[in-house]
Amino acid sequence: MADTGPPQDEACIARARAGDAAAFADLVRRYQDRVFSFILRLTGSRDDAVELTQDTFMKAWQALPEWRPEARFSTWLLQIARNTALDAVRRRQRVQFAPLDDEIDLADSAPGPDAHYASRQRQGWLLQALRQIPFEQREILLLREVEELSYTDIAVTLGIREGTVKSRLARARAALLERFRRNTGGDDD
Amino acid sequence: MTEPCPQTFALAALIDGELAPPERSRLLAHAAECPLCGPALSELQALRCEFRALPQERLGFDLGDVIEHRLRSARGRRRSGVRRRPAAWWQWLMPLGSATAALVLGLQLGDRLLGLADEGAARAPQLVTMSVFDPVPPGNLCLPATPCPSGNRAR
Repeated sequence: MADTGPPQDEACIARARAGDAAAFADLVRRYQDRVFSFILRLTGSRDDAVELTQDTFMKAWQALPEWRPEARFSTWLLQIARNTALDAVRRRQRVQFAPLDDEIDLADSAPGPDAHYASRQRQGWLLQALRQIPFEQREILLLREVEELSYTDIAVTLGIREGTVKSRLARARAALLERFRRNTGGDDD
Repeated sequence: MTEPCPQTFALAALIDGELAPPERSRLLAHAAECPLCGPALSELQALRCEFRALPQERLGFDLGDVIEHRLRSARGRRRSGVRRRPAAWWQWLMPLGSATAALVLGLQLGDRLLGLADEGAARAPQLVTMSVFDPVPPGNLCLPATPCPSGNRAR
């Protein structure tokens, strides 16, 4: 997922920080799907994700005076999104999702010859595996594999050391692969 | 879940592009020959491809408009709040003045009542106590040690 050009962002951010709501709305439009997608995969609920995406941008507006140009705007925004989602998940006590073994069987029982369908099915298995691992592993995988953040940016976003990023990512991948293999019945090559 | 070995950490760092060039070359050469690291590296790369193939979820409406509307509404309320600020300041004075007036009035009334009570105490006639209700019911023995004139002596 490519990052939006920093000069464009900078111009909008500068105007938004001066109180220009329209400039901030432009930033929202630019990042809304990315933030929504990230939160949706973190929480697993579309309704929650819609609400939390709005909350994220409202918080971002309020915190905009504290934003420093040293921090990439998208990373800063994802940090707010992550904290907002984590708060919501904690409130709703859904930090750890229960394994959905029955759903795995359902997915396994419907193999399709069509390549497109097979691809969709694998995506479904991947997302299912993602939901089955702990929140802290899910978030770090999403930040690395989907948002393509560097170890440094992940460390800043999650408030952990880079060494921890490395080890947590390795554990998260191992956990996800284990789930993914189980979901696909070992047919994941 | 088993603890990943350090080699797994290194493989993860390799596909993340977080290894220095010499270490990267060394690990790639190793993975090309190692029966464990080679498949593990392929599996990690495949996982990355699976992630990259995930479609981006769409919110489905213009959140920019919604946020802008909310911000303008909030600003409008704040602005109208600023215009009302002197009134709001006066509104603080109103309860304060009312409370002061109530206090002064209360003190005056109280003082006046106390004055009236003093005057009343000076002027009020002494009430004659009436022993309408005698503590000793009729027919009972008299409590005092003194003989009762009503007939105890007779017993």
